[in-house]
Amino acid sequence: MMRAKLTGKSGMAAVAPARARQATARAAVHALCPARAVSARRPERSVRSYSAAQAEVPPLEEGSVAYEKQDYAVVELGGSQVIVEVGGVYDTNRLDAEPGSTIKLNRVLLVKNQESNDLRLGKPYVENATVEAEIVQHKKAKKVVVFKMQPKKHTRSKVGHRQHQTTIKVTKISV
Amino acid sequence: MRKEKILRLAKGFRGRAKNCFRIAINRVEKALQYQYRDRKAKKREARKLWIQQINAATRQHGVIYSQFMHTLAKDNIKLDRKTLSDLAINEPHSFKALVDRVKFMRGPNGIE
Repeated sequence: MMRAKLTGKSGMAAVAPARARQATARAAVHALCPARAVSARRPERSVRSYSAAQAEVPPLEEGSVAYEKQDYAVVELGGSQVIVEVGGVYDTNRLDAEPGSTIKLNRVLLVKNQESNDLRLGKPYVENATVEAEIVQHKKAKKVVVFKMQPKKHTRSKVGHRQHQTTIKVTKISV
Repeated sequence: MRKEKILRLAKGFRGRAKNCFRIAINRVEKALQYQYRDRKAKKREARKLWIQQINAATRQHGVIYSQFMHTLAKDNIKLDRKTLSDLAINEPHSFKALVDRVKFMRGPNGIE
């Protein structure tokens, strides 16, 4: 898989473990969603225009293959930012909606359209951009044991915690 | 029953700590305390990693991290470090577009 070659001073050693984590995270999403498994992440085609200034992007390197990739958007969801693609499945904090219903995500920070090579940056949010998603299920995360103790002081506390989550599946990215 | 629970948590420990309750309980308690501490540390470590990755990626394009983040903040682009590092690794052309935007905003003087 082609990746950007990060050879900065402190970048090289730091990049490899993150890629492994991302690879396993991505594998988990692929298992959930066959549509996404088909298009792997590849280097993009050149960006031709974006909202404020013209980008000069070098042409694709010799030997790199530009597979058809999906459009993506960066959305604020559950207090954090998530890079979403159509057909992708994501876990967030519990949302107040029925499973099977559709929700609209309005706080979109960035939208990339691969076909038209159009990248839109929001300041902070892209105008009129929405992402539609369908609620798949509500669930609880794996239990986390919160254990606190003071040695030799006869104090300890053990609490289990399961975060309430919602799985959503993105159906549409529109600008 | 309590012993079973503790010994189940002690799988993979070294020596008698995985088999003998009286030794396992000490190691399990320590492990749970470390988990509490490291769940908080994980967030710090992740952010450090993202910053290093963004720094490396922007320096490839001739901008340094501090100026990149400062200009993004002034420009009211509120992408966080996690997203920026993800873009830098997986969407290099989008990231270069961001860096070019930063260069444009900083003017013809370039970095420094």
